[in-house]
Amino acid sequence: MNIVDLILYIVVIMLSLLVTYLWWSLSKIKRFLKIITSKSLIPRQEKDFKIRRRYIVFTVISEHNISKRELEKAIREVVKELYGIIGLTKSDPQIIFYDPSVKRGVLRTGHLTSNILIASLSSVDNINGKEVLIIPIKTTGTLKRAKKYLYMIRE
Amino acid sequence: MRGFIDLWLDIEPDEVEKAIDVGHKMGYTAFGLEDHGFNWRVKKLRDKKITLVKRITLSEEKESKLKEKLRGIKLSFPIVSVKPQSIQVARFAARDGRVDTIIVDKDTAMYIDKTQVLMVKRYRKVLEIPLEEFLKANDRAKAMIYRRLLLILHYNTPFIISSRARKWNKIHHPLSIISLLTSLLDLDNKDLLLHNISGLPLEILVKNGVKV
Repeated sequence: MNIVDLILYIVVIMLSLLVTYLWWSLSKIKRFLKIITSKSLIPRQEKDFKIRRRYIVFTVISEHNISKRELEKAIREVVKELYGIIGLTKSDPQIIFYDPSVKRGVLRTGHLTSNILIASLSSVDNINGKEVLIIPIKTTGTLKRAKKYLYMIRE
Repeated sequence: MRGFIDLWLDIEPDEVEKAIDVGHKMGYTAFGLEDHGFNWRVKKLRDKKITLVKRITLSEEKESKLKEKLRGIKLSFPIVSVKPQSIQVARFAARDGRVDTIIVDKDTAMYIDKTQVLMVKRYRKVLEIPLEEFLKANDRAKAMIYRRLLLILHYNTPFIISSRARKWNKIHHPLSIISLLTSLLDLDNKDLLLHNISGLPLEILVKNGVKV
């Protein structure tokens, strides 16, 4: 074999290796660019900011009659005491339905803050000097389902 | 259904019935009642499927006095808890076989250090955190208990959550306890906390010969 042939062989092999490496790195760059330019990141971010509603069905145990307004005020006070103003702002508990005849109701909050509200409910033990206890029964995603649970579970 | 156990109710005898009613609604299957002159050791309420167990909490500063009080105590009290008032008592309580739980509250948090936590783990004892005491404590005491909780979690030491409810409306719902602690400790693992209010207290009761 001639020396020139040998050098040629080596050059050809080196070139083919280089081309393979370039092709591989290009595909990597392409993949990277695809991730950056893809729109999949944007909806995910939007999804995180979107607050989904949660409805907490609760029952009040008390010998006294308690109005909806008194109850909401007491819950808000306890949330503020336990989690501060930021916790209260984030959770924003609202009693959207309360039936005094069965002493049950539905509280509305966000999906990220339902834990805050459940934790606070048991700490409500006194409303205007009346002894009470609030028990969370079920957390649902729709009001329809919450109302179903409201009358379904009876002691 | 998983049954929950609250090992510390500090309720007067006339309010016990109401507390049991509330506990039954919440899904509790057993309660540890602080002794207020009850004439039973273990009581089973078959209609509600709830077991009541008498317990005693000993608060001592000297080791010798605690030893004296512990003599023959298991005959009348299945659950014995110690509220250490000194580091010696805390260490002794961790070693002694008659003691079931060591209480961590605003008065005892200062005696719960790394050595104590490791000793409790080594001697298979359980640390007990009364929730009512924690919520009632002032800001500094709350922070102290919080740091102890982090220490307990770091060393994987067994602990239980009890309420120390003095009234029927101070009993916490198990779900509320879990939610409160997950938000307080930034925990994702709810199973661990579930174990602390159901599995671990059950183990203590079974160890002391109580059938639930």
